[in-house]
Amino acid sequence: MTAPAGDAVGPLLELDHLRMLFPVREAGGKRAHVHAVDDVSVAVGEGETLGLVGESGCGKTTLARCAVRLLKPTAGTVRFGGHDITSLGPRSLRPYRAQMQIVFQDPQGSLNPRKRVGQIIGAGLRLAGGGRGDDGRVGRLLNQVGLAPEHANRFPHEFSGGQRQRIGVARALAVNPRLIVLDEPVSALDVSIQAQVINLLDDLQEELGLSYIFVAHDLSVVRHVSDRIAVMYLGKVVELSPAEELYNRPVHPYTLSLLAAIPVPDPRLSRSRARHAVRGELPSPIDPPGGCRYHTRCPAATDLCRQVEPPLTVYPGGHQAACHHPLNVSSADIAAAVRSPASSRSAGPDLPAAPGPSASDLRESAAR
Amino acid sequence: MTALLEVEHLRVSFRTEEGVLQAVDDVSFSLGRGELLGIVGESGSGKSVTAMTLLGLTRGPNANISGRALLGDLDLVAASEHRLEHVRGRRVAMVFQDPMTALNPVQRVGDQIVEQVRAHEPVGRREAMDRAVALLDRVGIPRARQRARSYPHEFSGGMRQRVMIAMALSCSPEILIADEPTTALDVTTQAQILAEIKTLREQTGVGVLLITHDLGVIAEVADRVVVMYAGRVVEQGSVEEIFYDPRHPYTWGLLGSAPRLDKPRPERLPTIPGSPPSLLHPPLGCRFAPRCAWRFEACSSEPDLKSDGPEAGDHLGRCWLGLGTARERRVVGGTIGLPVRAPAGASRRPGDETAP
Repeated sequence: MTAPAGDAVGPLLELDHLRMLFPVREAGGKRAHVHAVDDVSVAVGEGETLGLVGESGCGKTTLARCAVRLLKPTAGTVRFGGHDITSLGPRSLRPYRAQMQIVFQDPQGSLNPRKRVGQIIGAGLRLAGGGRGDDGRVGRLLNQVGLAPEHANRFPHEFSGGQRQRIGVARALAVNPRLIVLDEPVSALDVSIQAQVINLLDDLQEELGLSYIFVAHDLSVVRHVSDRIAVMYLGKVVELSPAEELYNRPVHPYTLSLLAAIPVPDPRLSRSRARHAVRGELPSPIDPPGGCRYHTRCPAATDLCRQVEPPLTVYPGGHQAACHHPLNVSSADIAAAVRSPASSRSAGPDLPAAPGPSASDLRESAAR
Repeated sequence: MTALLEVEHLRVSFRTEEGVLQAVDDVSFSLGRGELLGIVGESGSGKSVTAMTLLGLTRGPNANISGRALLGDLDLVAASEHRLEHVRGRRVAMVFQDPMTALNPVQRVGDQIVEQVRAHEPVGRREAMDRAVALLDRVGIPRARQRARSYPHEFSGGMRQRVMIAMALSCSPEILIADEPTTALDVTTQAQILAEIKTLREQTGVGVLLITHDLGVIAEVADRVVVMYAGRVVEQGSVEEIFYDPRHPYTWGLLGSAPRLDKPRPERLPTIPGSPPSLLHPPLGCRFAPRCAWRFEACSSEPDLKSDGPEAGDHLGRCWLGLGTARERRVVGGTIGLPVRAPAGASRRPGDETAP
């Protein structure tokens, strides 16, 4: 296993002002682009888990796929272990492929139904140049994910959903990766099984010093695995913060409403708490709104929000958010705030001038 | 509360190549006017088969259905296919999980609603279309008149689900069955749809049968709850009873393993060890016993679904543990849950699924 790198070496994965546009043809043959990821900069350290959350269509999966170069970004750079891999071709990417693996959402669709589990896991081993996939290694991998070595001779359909996801994890582990992208790895599983798979991922990370990018639409799942969490909205990162901070002190109104939308399994609490559901719908990523992209749905939006895109602002404690009217910050926080180098290039120059409305004010205006 | 629907001893089994699969095994419950009854369980617990059977959607040469489901004086289990056609969509309507596959992709949504209205009521096209537009407006679709002319693919997931709800309401049904109506949606949209279902039932008095695996959804909207496991009802009671005084270890496990945002983050997520049993070969005795940390000798025979005495009222549980013992044991680390480690004597690696 690679030794954990010190600060001097820098983060394992760096995404720098990454953009991913997909060409589409609108009605009438007009050319346009889906702005799936629009000027996003994030980094993942050795042994760290970065949670990536947002509604469907916010670009989280696209960002994760660019990170492991399943997609070639339109602009920006992807650096892995300090090397620029943004525009490497398939051949020169091969040494990096083994170091970056991915586990997909649907364990049924991502395992070849006609191959035995041993072949599925062994394929990566063979391709990574480990000679013939030797059976001992496959058995050890199966053990590692809580299955038995004799399962190598079975087909994917003979397993339950949770077990199939364990096979997906074993396949990713086979080539000794340093980074694994987990794209909604538990959202297809039952609640009781979700917890089992998350605990497994936790154990493996501790044992092998892996870095994870954990993509999910559900903030309650991400909380248990992440060191830091990035909240995405319409192709932009709107908030990036140490995990617990995000829950205790959401700064962006969008994060607040994502948190408020999660149902709490406690009837008295969930019925008494003021609901503050996000109004309206996600605007089209083909023609995203100008200014702050969230202004069309934000209860606190002002003219400034409609005109100027807010820069990502770093508050004391490392909490970053892109909002002109930040929640849960004091005047002192604002005075100490600096513009983040991860801000979009299109963002305005001005940092927030004053704390935004309190969370309870927001709820009232949302209720109207 | 007068019962709209009375389900008694419903059993559904399917003949498969590998043997008889008992999907629903002796399920009874009732649904009152304006009531929202939640059915919770994991995949394979029989919750969807129960709902589909009420509409006669599980009938077939390989299905064996017994028991009764009384809608007024009509038994939905015994009713002829012809009688059922007058029930489906009119007296009992259904909203499915995936609105994209439940809507016809090549027909405008307004026309789809018109078709349903005119199948059940002698109204003209124009009048039916007016009703469709009013319904779309009612469920919160902006510019309903224009949107009625759109095709399903022109709507977002949440809007499609609103169309499904509008269609389900088009003949003012007595009962609305919603099978995982928000599972395919984002949390933000889910909150909007749940709010919609709540208002509808207040305004129209429709009885709602809400099927979900998400206890958070249940906590938010349900009046009463049925917990199913491996085709059986293991616990049944008011939403307060299920969440604050749960009787069955499976319910404890479900409550314990739901990630909670309102509580501090635990070191490890609590789980229910093992995985749900195969319905082809259900365990003898209590079906949950193989995964239960608290099993003992009595669990080799199956307990009845029973009340703990007169003061427990309609709160029913299917467990051998006495009420006092249960109340003591369900508390793990200050909250309700199943212990992570099996008690002494149980030979099993906790946290691991059993081999298939």
